[in-house]
Amino acid sequence: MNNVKVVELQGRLDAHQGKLVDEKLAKVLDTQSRTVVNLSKVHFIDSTGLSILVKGMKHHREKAGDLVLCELQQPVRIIFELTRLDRMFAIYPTETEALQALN
Amino acid sequence: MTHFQLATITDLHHAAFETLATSWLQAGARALYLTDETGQLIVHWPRFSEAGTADITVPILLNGQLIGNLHLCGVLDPASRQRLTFDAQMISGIAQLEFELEKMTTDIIDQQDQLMALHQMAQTTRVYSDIRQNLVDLAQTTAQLLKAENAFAVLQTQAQELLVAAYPEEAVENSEWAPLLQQLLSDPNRQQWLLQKNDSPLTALKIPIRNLLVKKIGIRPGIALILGAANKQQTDFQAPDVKLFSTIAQPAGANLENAILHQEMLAQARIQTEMELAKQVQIHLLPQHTPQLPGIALAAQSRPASHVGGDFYDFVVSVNQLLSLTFGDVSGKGMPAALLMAMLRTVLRGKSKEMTAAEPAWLLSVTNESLYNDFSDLNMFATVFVAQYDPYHHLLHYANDGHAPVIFRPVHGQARLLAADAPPLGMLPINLAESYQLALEPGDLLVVASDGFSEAERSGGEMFGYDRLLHFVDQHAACGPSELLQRLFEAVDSFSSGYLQADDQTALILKRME
Repeated sequence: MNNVKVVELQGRLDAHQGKLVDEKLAKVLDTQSRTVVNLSKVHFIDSTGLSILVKGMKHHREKAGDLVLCELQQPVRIIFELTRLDRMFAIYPTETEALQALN
Repeated sequence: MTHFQLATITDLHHAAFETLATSWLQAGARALYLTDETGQLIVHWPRFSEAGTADITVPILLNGQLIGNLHLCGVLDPASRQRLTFDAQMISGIAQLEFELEKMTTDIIDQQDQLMALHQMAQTTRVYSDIRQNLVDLAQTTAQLLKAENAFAVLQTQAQELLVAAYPEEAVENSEWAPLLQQLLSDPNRQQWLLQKNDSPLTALKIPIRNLLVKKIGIRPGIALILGAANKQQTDFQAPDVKLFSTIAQPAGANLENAILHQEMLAQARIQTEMELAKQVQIHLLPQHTPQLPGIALAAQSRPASHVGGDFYDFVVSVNQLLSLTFGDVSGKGMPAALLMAMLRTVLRGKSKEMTAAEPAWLLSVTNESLYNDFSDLNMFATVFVAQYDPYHHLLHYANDGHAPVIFRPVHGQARLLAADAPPLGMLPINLAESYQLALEPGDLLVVASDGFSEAERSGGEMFGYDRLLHFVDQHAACGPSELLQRLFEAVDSFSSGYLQADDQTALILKRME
């Protein structure tokens, strides 16, 4: 599992916090191309937040890797379902399952 | 005192000298005359006669220095010698007074010059909001006032850049001051430096510097004015110079701050104006009127959070009365979202006009093909809901690329969400949305809103949410679209009362009337 990085985000994933997350994901991608984003502490995500995760996911896939999500809180899960972004991302209930999937 | 002329005094006080000479001549002297320190005759009484050999000569001194001699002919007695000595002392006294007066006059003129220059400096700063020109003028004024051969005025900006203006400009490459400044500024606690020829930072310079006076004036955190004067003419910088230097530097710092503020305000105003124009453009991109169609009523409104936003809606009625409703929300906020919104609207509008049959999924698909590359390159996307209403069969055909909330409320049922079956437009090269259809009964309602409603917050972080929205639609299902729309804005405003609207709020409502 040493090639997979886990990124834990927390709080609101919106335009305000988005820039930091964007930089964080870009930095992660410098070293490897498989990332698990743990959203267990994220209680809100808006369209800017979504677009940052999408961007990160695209960049990972460009490098033949992937960015997967895990442990979504209910309100965040609803957003992913309503926007059908659940069809774009691999989403796992637990971090362990996410890690297993990437290895 | 070397330039001081005894001749000037005899000219200025010629009446007094005349009286003095007359009294000597009346007392029996043959002649009285004055010579300067080199022995050159200045004035002779009686007038127009040649100077004979003096019987008594007494020196005239000023501050212990010989400035001339007073000579008397034809009298020799000790009383006269004493009287002549007294006269010489009196002339010395007058010379002393004149000397001091002249010095004071010079000082006053100097000060007047300084005041004029300071005044001029203040004026120029007001005239030029150009910061560079300010610095150039400041360097020049500093050099002139301090009688220094060189001067510089430097603005240290937040980016740690140095904007250097040197005087005289041609004498020194502006960049030559930079290493010295860097060295001086590396000590953040020091505000003032007075350096002589052999002090270490000066030896690092290519230009020869005899002495240097530098002062740093903090304008605001990260921004400072650094003023310097170098090579004081003839002498070194003295205490009064340091004082005068402060007098120049302090208001210059304040003036420069004003100039910076002025520029910032101009830039701000320019952005404001452009944003206002963009807002106007965007408002015009939204339909100015809702179309009137038999059997249905429509209402829509958009309220951007910032000047411009990424929400939009549009109505297009094609030749065969097919009504296309488009509703979208471009990810992100502000200008980038607004620009993509304009593109998206144009493509959707163009394609809708061509349509003769209700095929909303096809509309999304061709729009995605047109815009996928642009959206993808920018890492942006848009949730788009498209509906086409066939007024003859009362059929609503719709397709949904990731948009929520879309609420359908049948006249005899409960409000429910029409969930998307595809991710937002611009995310995938192919579009996955399919077309669905609803047969509308009289009284059936369709409410499409942007997430600015469902995600409207109040203190404590609680959101308006989908449940509250669905409940609201159930409660007000009897209203007409315009009233319902108005009440929806009121409801969300009262929910998040006092809380700043964080996202664009846009809603579109369709109701079958008969």
